[in-house]
Amino acid sequence: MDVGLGHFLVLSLIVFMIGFLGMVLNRHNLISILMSLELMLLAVNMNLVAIDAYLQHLDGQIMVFFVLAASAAEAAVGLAIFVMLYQSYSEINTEKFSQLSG
Amino acid sequence: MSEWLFYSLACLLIIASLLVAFCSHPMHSVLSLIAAFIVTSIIWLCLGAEFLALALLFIYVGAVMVLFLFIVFMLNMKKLHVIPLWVKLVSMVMFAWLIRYWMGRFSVSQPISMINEVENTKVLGIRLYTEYIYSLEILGCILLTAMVSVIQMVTKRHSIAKRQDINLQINRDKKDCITWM
Repeated sequence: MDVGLGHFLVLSLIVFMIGFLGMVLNRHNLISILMSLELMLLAVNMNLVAIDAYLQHLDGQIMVFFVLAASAAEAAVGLAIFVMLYQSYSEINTEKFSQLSG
Repeated sequence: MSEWLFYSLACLLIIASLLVAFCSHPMHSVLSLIAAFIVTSIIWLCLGAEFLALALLFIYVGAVMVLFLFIVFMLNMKKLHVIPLWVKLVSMVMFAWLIRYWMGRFSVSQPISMINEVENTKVLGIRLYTEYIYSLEILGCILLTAMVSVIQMVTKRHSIAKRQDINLQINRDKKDCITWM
């Protein structure tokens, strides 16, 4: 039995669920949340690439290109926000950020 | 793509992702995430997406993960929230059940032809610069906005970062700066 589309879909499903699990389990640590988010984005991108190779289009790969660039921008902004939070709270823990001041 | 290659790469990817989710220290998570990106890039290379595989390596492993590493180095992460072992075990069992439940719903018989006749990078570039040119420009705007906002957020007013003083620049006189030997 050769490797088909379903193999890749199941693999990306597993990786996505692991990313979701990591996001739920490490919800006290902002950096772990962002890393699990990257893992979920990776799974989605692998889904797109596999379907793209199955359909022999290129639209999926172009979409993956856009998703890659946008998520790189998102990671940069998120890390800058973490640095700012660390400067004001001197800790990266979501329990500390339970109060907002308007 | 042969079967043993796919299964070995899939095992490596799943192990790396589990380490990302379950490592208690963020540094180990970042390193396993780098491993996951490298394995995914190999899988994409086998799927025929050569440009995206190399872009994933360059952008993610080369830039974003190094950024993560620097942030983890810079911030003080001593107070860690360690996940207890039973939570890991229970979540893994539930997760495996979920995967087993969904596995039967996919039919795994459609084969993928892995051989592309045309050059991937060339076709991708042609389509990006003709059909998707407006999207590409919007993407450039997004990246520029992210860069400007990040620099504005992180640099402080009285830090050692060099800033432009516009009054000083406009009021500069040539008598003050040019001296004749």
